[in-house]
Amino acid sequence: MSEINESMVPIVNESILSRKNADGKLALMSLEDDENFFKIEGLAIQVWENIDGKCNIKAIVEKVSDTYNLPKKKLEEDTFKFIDDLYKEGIIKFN
Amino acid sequence: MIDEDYLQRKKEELNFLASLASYDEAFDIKSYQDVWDAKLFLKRKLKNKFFNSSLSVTNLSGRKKINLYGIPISYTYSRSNFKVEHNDFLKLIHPNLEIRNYISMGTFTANAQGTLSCLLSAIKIWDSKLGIKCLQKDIYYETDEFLEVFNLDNDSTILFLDSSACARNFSMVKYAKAIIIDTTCFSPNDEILEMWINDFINKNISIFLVRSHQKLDSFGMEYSSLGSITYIKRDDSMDEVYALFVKLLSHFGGLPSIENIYPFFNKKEFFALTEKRVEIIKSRNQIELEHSRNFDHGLYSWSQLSHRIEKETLAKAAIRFCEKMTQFGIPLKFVESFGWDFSSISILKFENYNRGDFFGNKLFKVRLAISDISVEDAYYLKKCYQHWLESFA
Repeated sequence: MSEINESMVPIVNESILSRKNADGKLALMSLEDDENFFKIEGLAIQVWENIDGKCNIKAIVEKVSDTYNLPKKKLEEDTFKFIDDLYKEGIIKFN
Repeated sequence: MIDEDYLQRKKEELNFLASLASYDEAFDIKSYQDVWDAKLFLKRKLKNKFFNSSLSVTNLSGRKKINLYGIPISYTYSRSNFKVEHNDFLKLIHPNLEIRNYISMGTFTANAQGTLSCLLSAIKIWDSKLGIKCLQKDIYYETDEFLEVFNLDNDSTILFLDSSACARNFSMVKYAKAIIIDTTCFSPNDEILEMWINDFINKNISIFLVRSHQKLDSFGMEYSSLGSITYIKRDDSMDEVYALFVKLLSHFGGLPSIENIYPFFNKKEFFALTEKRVEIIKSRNQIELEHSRNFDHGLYSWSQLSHRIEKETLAKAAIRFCEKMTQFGIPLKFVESFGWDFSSISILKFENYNRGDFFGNKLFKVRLAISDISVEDAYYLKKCYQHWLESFA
């Protein structure tokens, strides 16, 4: 797939489970792959919670910007990078 | 994730244990691991509080009788002559059961399986013609092996009811001299036990209750290996068996060290908290899984593997799966029992293991025992477990 863009709609792969830990971090685990395991926190959790298969990346950035008081450009960069990482790790796909 | 209900229940358990241990500081618990660490800490505190100043195997009190946590016991050398001097042992172990017209005696033992083996042996030595009838097909594999070794007859003179499954057919009960019930998988004051005991008393049948306290009576922390036997007599006909059993228990090392006896017996809070804990465990194990079987007692389910797999390979996969779940935040251990503050999976031999299946393959089954974790985490665990099982198909 070519580079991701703001009109794309991410959706979580069916084999991924997420669970919030007591320390506030979110654990992401693949049922298919023993090695595929991540812990995310902060802004990444906000982005993750908005990946619902309906919102495109632009909408996700807008939703997150309501909560995070960061420069828009920085927020966009971080969100795009995180979503790109999730895609490369097989945690999400695009509708 | 962990919910408020879980944290509240665990705080109640920890507060109770802390009060027994005379430990005043509060625990800041946020995770399953925090609870586990606090439990083990209090276990050490309790053992240190009660057994840090004298020997315990040999009674050095100068008196044969001593009072341990309000329980009168006597011994000079625990392995040989430990005895509970309580005049109603049933009331000590199952205080809230409403049972009428009985006489009970009993003792704590080193563990339940040894107790059961001694009792079966005592019966066989007492009258080799007596047969033992198991009231259900699925019985614990060690007991099954023991019964095979002793080649006990399959008639109905002595009945045996394993707690790993509930019997539904009591039609042969009226012919029995006695019944042995392994109560391990029931909460101490479970109404099923009350119903059974009253029923057998009404039928004039003597009852032996054998229990492992390690699973459900230990606050999920495996306080120590401990079993017990309660003999509810209807007449004198089984007294000789009980006396012989006590002798075997002594000879085979089945009597306990007093350090193994739990300091929370004889306390109302222990029974209330245990009952609550067991009810939650049951509810968490209720979720149905494909190719799995839930037991009536509701403490765990097991799944039969449909094809041959080496035990070592299965064990390695189980360990990997446990590590993955624990990393995900839901503690799961590959251990051969249940009832802890963490969930567990075990590998057991299937009933036809010795014979093999149609092709002679020796099959295993996997047991999943979910602890009293949050509803959401129980759901996650079942989902992952189902997926893990399917990877062997």
